[in-house]
Amino acid sequence: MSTDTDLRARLRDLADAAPHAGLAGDDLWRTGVRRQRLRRAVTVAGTAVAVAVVVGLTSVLRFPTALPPTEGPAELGIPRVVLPPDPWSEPTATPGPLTAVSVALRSEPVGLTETRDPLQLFGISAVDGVARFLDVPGLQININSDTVAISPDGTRVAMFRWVGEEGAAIRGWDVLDTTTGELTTLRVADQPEIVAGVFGYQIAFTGDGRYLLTSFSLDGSDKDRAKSFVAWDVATGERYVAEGPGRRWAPGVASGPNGVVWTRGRDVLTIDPVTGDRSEISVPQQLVDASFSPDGETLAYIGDAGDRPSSRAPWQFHVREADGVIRTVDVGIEPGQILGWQDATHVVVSQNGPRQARVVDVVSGDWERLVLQQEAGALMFPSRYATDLFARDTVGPAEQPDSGDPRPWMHQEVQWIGIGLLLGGVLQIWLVIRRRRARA
Amino acid sequence: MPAREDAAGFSEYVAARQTALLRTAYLLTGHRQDAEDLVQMTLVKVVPHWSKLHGDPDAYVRTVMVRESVSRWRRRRWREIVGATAPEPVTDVPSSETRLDLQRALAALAPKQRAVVVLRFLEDLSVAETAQVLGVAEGTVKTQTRDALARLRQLLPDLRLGDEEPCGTLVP
Repeated sequence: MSTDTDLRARLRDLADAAPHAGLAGDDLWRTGVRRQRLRRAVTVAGTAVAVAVVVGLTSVLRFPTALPPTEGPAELGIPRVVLPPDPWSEPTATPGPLTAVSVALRSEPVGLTETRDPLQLFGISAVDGVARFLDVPGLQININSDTVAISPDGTRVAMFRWVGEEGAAIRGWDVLDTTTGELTTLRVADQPEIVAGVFGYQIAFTGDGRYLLTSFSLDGSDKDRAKSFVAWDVATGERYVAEGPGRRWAPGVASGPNGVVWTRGRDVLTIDPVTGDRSEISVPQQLVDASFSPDGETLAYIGDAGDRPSSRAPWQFHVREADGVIRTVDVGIEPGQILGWQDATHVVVSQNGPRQARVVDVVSGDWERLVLQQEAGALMFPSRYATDLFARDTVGPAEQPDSGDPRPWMHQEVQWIGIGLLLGGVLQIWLVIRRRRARA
Repeated sequence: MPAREDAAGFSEYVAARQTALLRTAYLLTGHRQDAEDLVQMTLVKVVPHWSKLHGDPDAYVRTVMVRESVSRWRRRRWREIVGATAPEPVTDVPSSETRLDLQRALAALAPKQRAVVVLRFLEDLSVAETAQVLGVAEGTVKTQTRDALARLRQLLPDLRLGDEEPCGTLVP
């Protein structure tokens, strides 16, 4: 054992056993330079790969994005094809003026991997033609399209506000201002629940867009005969009873440039809620639908050719001129609905269901074909059109922006990249282990 | 890319300082071959930064070497566990029993404790300088010095240390 117990001295003594290798500075310099170049190249390559992956994913992956705001004049007419929005697109309360509304399935993420696809109301913009889901909190969609209405100018959308599950009762009617996003619920103060009933479903705006037409019982009864035909002033919430209770059937909602228009049997009735002026026109046919021309002179209507409402005879299109002369016009299809007027002498008539339509010259009786399509997913819910916009030329479908699941891991591209990274990591670990074993 | 004069200056530095670097590396690794590898790798890693090392490059070189040594120790330990191979034996045993005892005692220290001992008692660095090289707080250096010396005293009972040994100052 050494007598030298000084750590410092013993360390120096041990260090004397260090190798005396003749390290060549030039060689080390070159090695260092090569290593630096290699590391720089690897860094550049890695950065390039990372950038490529990010750019690639950005261009491939589609996430829900807020659709562009609708800016500019609302100049578009009725779309010949109603395409729904991408299921993952974000809803909006301010889609701007609309040309049509319908429903489609909208996808929502649930948890990490689940998805739910509720029916959601969407509208076609009169500005850019893009379809946007409407953001109406708590809205439940009934497959019956009569529970939704769009104002003739496309700036308001009305819909039933159901109590709980649809079918039993409603709280009232929601009216969404599509330009401001303001949502108003029209309701009866002393009736927290309004019994709608099967025959009280249909709602519609008046031709001036001022009133929403509804049928319900003012005293809360669920009897059909207790229902009244009520016009709601959507700006003030005031209601006007156009037709009181006592009739078994709800009226047929008709249209005209002003006031409330409806049908009863063979009669077309009108009332001006402001002045109280009433009018009544009788025709020989049982009425299915009726509409006054923009100038109020001509009445176009669809009538049952038989003597009784239950007759199975084909429905026919008729024109009643201002002088009372009625003409039946063969429009080449069985008419089911009057959609709107292009001008005072041209009316758009369509079949029920598939939208084979006709633009009919009510003076000459000539007509032109018009096909109004919608994507298969919305076939159960025929589109509702902003009727004033039939005055413009119809337009083709606009390109709908793509969207996608907001969860990156649900994208197949990301899943493949994840699998690739996992395999790469495993391979890297295996290579490291193999290299270290080889060194050992 | 560093200029040509940098390469010449680097070569001069290597020629002048390699013996001292190898001595330090030998105490850090306890193995002659490992010491040579450690010094070479340290100098190779220094090359890209050489042009920025104005004045005395020793401090930076020492920092790179100590950290590389610790990293190598970690990698070696990992290999020993994953590879299930025996630890590398101390093959180049110093000639004397005294050296052998000290080498074994140093090998028993944790790598950072060993680095602290080497830097403080071979390189004669202060606590602050040692903390800078290791990238730790001065308090950590003091603690590691105290623990390392306690361990050495345990392994080398005849080792003579001074009153200030917790701070690493030896009695001459």
